[in-house]
Amino acid sequence: MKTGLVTAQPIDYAVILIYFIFVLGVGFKLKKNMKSSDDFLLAGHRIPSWVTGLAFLSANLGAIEVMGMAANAAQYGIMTCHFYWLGAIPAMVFLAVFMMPFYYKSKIRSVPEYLRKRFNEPTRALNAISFAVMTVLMSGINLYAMAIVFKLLLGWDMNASIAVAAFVVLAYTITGGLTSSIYNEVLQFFLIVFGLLPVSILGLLRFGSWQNICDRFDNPGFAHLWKQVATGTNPMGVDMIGLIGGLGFVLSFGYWCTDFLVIQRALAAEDLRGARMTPIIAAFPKILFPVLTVLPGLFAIILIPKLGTNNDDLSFNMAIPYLLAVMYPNGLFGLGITALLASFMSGMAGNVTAFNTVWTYDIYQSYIAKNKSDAHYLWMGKLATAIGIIISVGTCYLCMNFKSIMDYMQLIFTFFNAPLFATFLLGMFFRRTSPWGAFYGLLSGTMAAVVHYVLTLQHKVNYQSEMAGNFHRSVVAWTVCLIVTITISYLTKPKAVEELRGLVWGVDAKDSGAAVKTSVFASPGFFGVILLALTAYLNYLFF
Amino acid sequence: MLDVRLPIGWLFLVLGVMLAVYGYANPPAESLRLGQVLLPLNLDVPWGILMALFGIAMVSLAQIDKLKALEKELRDSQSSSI
Repeated sequence: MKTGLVTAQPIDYAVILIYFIFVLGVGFKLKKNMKSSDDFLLAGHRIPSWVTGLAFLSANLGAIEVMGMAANAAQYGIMTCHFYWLGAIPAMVFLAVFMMPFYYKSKIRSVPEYLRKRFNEPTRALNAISFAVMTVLMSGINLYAMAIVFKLLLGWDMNASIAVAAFVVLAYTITGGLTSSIYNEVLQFFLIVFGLLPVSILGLLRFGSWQNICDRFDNPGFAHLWKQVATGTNPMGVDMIGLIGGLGFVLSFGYWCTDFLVIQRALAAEDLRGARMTPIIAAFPKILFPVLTVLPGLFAIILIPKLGTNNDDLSFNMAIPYLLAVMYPNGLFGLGITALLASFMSGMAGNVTAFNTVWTYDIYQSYIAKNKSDAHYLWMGKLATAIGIIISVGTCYLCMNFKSIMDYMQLIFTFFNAPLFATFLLGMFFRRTSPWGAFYGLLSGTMAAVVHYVLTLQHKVNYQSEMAGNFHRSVVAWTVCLIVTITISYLTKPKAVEELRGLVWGVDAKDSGAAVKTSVFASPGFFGVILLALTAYLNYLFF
Repeated sequence: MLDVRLPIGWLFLVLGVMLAVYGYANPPAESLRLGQVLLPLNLDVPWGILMALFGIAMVSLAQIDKLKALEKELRDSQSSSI
């Protein structure tokens, strides 16, 4: 067997083993609480908001965030922070302030279910099926990234590490359901912080100051967020439309405001305030996350200049794993590896627990087996969990045929999330949107993204980088969905106002009653303003 | 239901102690190499201690809340028996 880059000591294996024991223990301990399908698939709506907040944050702290963002930073420089300071934070504030009340008050169990209530069955079915396909495709990426890291770093057999990780995720999600997945996401959040923070600390000690780091970049554009965007010579090859419209608006809002994987964590909160505070609580640490992801990527490109010269063992994706190998002593190395392992597993578990809910409630219960007992749906939820994991293992082998994980992921988002965000925006804030308008709008938005992609493949439409292409594609998909939805809505019959109570801005739910008075300083809106001010300041600081 | 701070706290306490003890017993043969700079730091020890402290804080917070809940239960049962 080919050996890896690092020789792990027994202490490193002991750290991994103990983590496994705790993860499985949590699932086992929660098993007795899983009595109904609601407990299993929705965590019984009784999780405190600080827990859902951290789970919200760490559900997308999988392979993509940790390795992908570091890889992006090594490739494009500090402009990668736009994913946080232009994209994620404003979108999370928007979700908390404007959209969450509709999600939580309409008592939906999933995002497709909102589409059924607001529009009609076909719109829901279209979204449920595409979401189910998307989640299992995404879930496999986590397994693949994990296997490749451990093969290169430690020389582990890829099949064996895929099998072990899939088994552990299966064991803890099938025993503890969404609660177990959420608990492990929180556990994983702290592991990532403790496991990766020393990289940033050691790097800062090594270079001394931000200025010293900037002086070492070959490309001065690596040190600026905005300075070169207007000139078109920036490392990412994007223009203002792609950056602000594509990443800042469509892709980020589409992901954070409509992706059920993240919404599901907020819906598990104990009350509406908890659900609204979930994205807010998550946004504060999120602002600082570039310290854990982007900064190491910047160190990597200075310390490992050969990075990115091939797509195999020197791919940009290996930035963080290599830094762990170079910087950490044994023991701490085990912790760093465990943090990565935890992030892959939690990314996968997040996808699987979103998949089992959408499958059980939006596909199985709605179209295949109506009016069965709750015990039957609980059983189906567990079966869907197992099948979701088996399909993930399959899609993981599929991923091995793709050159770049990150491009593949953003591509999938442009197909599904970008048009969906236009549908939601119109559904929640424009009363005239009709059910068939939404259906055809969503369908044509997705088709527009596919056509645009095919044109890009045939070089009929060209962009400076894959990323720029994805940003523009998302704007196209969103705009087509918006225009088609509005046009068809005016040609078809809208729903009666009575049917829209609690689902649309300006049409209150009947039983809403008197709102609970809370201080302005404790409201999600107030925290939202603080978050936006902080983000604006950071954009100015690294202009 | 299980308080999530308990498993987090215990895991960090166990891992932190393990790291600190291992680091103390096996000091690195050479100083920590960062590029051209050598740093005289046995990183496992301080980081292990920090993790263990974090673990203790988590477990303590969970215990305090548990005690508070018990007190409240006791008060409620006393007031209802009066």
